[in-house]
Amino acid sequence: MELIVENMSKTFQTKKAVDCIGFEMNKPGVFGLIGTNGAGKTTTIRMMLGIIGKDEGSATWNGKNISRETLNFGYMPEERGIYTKSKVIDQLIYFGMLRGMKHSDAKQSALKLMERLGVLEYKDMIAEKVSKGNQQKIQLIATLIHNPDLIILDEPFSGLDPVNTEILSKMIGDLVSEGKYIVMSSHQMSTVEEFCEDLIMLHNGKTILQGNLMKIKAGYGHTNLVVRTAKDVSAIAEKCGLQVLAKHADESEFKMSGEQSAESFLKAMVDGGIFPIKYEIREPSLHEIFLEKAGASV
Amino acid sequence: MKQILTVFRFTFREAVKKKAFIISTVIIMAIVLIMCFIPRIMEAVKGDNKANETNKTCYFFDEDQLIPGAKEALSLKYTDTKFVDGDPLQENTYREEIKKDADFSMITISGVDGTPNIQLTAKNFMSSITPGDVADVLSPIFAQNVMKDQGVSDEMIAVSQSLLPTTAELVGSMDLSGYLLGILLLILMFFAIYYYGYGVSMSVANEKASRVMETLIVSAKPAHVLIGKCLAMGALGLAQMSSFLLLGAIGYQLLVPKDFLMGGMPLSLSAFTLSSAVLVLVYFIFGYSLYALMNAVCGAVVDKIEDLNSAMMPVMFISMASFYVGYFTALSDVGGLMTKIAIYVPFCSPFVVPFKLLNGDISGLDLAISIALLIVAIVVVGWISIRLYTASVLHYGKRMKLKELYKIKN
Repeated sequence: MELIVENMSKTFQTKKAVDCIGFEMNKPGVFGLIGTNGAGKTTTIRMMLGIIGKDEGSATWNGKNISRETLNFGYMPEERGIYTKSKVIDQLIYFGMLRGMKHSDAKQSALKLMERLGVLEYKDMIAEKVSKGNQQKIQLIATLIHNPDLIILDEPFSGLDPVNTEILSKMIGDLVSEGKYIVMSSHQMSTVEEFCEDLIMLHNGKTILQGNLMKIKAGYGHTNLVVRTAKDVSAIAEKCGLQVLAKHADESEFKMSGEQSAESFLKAMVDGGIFPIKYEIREPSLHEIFLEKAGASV
Repeated sequence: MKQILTVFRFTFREAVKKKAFIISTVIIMAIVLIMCFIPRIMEAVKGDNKANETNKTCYFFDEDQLIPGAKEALSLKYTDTKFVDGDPLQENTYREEIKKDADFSMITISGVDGTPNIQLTAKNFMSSITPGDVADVLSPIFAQNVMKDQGVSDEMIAVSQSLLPTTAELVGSMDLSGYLLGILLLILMFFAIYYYGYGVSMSVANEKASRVMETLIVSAKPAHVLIGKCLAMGALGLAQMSSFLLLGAIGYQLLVPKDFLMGGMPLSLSAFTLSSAVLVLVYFIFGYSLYALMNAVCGAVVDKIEDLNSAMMPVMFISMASFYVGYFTALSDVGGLMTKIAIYVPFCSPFVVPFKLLNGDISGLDLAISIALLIVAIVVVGWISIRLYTASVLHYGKRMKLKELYKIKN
């Protein structure tokens, strides 16, 4: 199975919302679609799924153009929405049936997923009486009820508490193990780093970064130094040519200009009688790469 | 087709379960039953009035005997009123009594140079004795007295006062029952088309406001959602209206007295033939479809329920204008060009044609043209509505103009 998105563009009135975007997924996993607000993520997803028309480009699944008719995809939009006045189970069956399932199959699948996500007790409740977090799970069930091969999750973790985040993380892991293809859009870079092997970074409708996350990070090299000490060592670091990136209660992060600066900084600390509890040289985080790329393209 | 049916079933079932639907159904059913009881209540009130005959009093003054026999003539006309010669000294006391009690009244005949002037004193305009009726009774008596004084023979007086025999021959098909039923149907059609059409826009606006639309639209084609929703609300309306009509028919059979007269005419449902009933149904379905499709677009262009009424203004204006054109065409029976326009224009015809059908006042050709134009309008409006609906359901933020929506490529 293969998802190929090629040169997709969309203009709304005079604004180019998406400009020539393309990416591929040729094995199960999670693909990250990241970007600032208004970067064009949702428009990309909508064009990809054939919900709105494309001005240019194509999106294919196994060589066929993607549309509601050709592919039983699952899509969880960023803006959560369920029928607030309807029973949970009724609306899940409805969404299943809209995806071509029989009533009995839709019910069975809904109950199974509800049990898996720990919301079975709410099946006969009116949706508005269920908590926001559980409503989000119900929406995820509506996305997965018909067992789609391609799943698109738009900001799936937003608004979830740590317990539900953990449940959803496990669910995503399970889906990947089952051989599902997941395209995930997220603002939470740590989440993208946790799940995505490949990603595309959008800004103002344009691709500013794309590729394998490990390779991208490796391309930046080991540029960051994290130090935990009993005293503030910022002044020593700056003397050694390091740039302060962040200062926390007991930990500081610096940008290195080279390996030599890190060595001289360590020597200066030791000479000054300061012994670091933590001294870690690492790659920049996706968050930092994102800020650098997005900032640079403004 | 399967998706349309799925949307239809879900929308119908959810709408039936709503409290507003259940409560409105019960209330309207109660109103229908009460309306069926009204003729019985009217009969009972009439019976009570007969039993309370001569309960009312009217003080009569004709000191100069200007119209001899006037009191007797008035007694014959108003059998429920006792005419009593009043004491001229007590006139002001009587006036005060009249102020307090509506069953009292006073007739005073006075005059200068032998020409009588009749004054009726009553509590208010709702008195059963009216100045016009009193004049109708007393004028011929006065004229008769004058002619007698002038030596005119009794035969000539009788001839001069006789009413010429006049009969009415109504050759058209419209009778009072058909007319009243037609007006009632016209109002009902407007109410039903507007109310259930509003239900469609409300349902769409709710889906958009609650953001469930995006989940829905990726699961089914927007056109299928729109058609399924319109069909469901239409079926709901049809079921609800049918239940009211069925209850009304049963109530008519069981509760309305067989000899009940309205305006001197028997109340009859004879204008409701099988063919006219089928055609009325066709016009309801087509009329509803036309307005529901437009209403769906109104629901789709708003982000919040509060904005729905302002978005619906253009459709509301079209429906109100069409209703009034239909209503006044029916009321005034103007015929000619105005009627043709009302019958042919698809926005008006669902209101006008049912009235015309019940009164047998429409030709087969006009009917065929009217239905054909209505179908064409539904196809055209449906095509435009589906396009606008598809473009607007996923658009949030500043409300777009129809022209802008139309240009969006989906």
